[in-house]
Amino acid sequence: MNATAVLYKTKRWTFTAIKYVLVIAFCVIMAFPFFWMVSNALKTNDEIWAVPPVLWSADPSWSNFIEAWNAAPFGLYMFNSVFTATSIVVIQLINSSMISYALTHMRFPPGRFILVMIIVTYMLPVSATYLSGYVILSRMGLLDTYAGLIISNSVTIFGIFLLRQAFLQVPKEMVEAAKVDGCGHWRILWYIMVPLTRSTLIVMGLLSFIAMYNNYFWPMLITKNPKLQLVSAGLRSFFIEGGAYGLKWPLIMAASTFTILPLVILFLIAQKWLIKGVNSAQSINK
Amino acid sequence: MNWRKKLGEPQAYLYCLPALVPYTIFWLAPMGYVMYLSFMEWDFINPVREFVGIENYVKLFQDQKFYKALRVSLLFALGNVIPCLAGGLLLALLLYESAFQRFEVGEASSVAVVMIVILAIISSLSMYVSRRRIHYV
Repeated sequence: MNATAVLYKTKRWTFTAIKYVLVIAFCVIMAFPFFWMVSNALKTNDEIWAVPPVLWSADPSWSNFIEAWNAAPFGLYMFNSVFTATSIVVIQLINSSMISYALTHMRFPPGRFILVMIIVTYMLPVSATYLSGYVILSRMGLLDTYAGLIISNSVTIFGIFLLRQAFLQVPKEMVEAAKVDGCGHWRILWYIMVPLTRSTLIVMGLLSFIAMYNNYFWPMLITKNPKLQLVSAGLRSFFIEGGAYGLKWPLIMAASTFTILPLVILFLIAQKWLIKGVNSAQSINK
Repeated sequence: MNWRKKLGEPQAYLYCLPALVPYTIFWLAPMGYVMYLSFMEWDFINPVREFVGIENYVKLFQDQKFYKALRVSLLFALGNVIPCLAGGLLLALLLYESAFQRFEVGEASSVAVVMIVILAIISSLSMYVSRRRIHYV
């Protein structure tokens, strides 16, 4: 081995080492708030306020989780959030893929106008429609119902846009071939387009689920009944009532910890699909 | 026939329906409705709405709070988007060129360090600024 090769090798090694150090540092920065949340859930109030911060409690009190779970109807809140978010995601996936198919693979000249209109409204701030959206929802008698929560969120402009881009990537020849073989639009959509763009659909569903699970302002506006509160609003009311305005920090942190659990589980499940999806998405890009 | 060609396949309308109906009810209709309400004097409860023309707009443009909110929003958007996009892209490009194409690890790491320092300065500055603004409001 000559000198240049050795130098080259050391250079690459240092480069890899530096890369790993940077990546690990970044991971630590990103993960620290979550670690801090869990560790604070196990501390006593005094340990939380201790001035050289205590990293991990000397005597972790796991009972904080049980106490927090019993202090407010978190099971109900989480059911509400998961239920509404799941229904919204299912509806959004179906109607977005239908409209995207019509916009991309059907002979449909007014589609351009519809697309432009949809993209223009995407740029308008959502908060501008809160006021009149509330009035419209109350006229429909859907205030304070699951149906109102679900229907008012059942269309995602970003999702339509995302899916349209994905459907455009599917070669026209494939659709033509299916037509020749005697497929109608309905079958082309569900048996060819959807499997081919599975990755985008999963990403869209995931993003939408996270957004809906974390949704705070709009659900709080349109529901009054405490039994219909979503997890974010429930956490806030727990913070005010059960947590006595932030006096019981360990309980609040414990409650926060188990409210993010569904999202963590979802990510762990979807991760495999995401990586698979990226690969198949590449193979359909001619 | 010509109009048939222009309208496209009838099935396409059916496919648009499930998305376009909620879209109309919860995006378009509120937009139109809010425009309509902006010319009215109404308190949500009273069944009678009074048409007042552009009086509400006159009131709004005389309100100092509106200008303040507008300024803060603009500042926030610009301060968020421009450094993120331009700075991120430039630094990433520099990093890519020096590290991945020429294997100049030292140079690349200096870029990374400068990136971190700049990010720290920007975030502490924005924290300081936003704190000041929030307290004043």
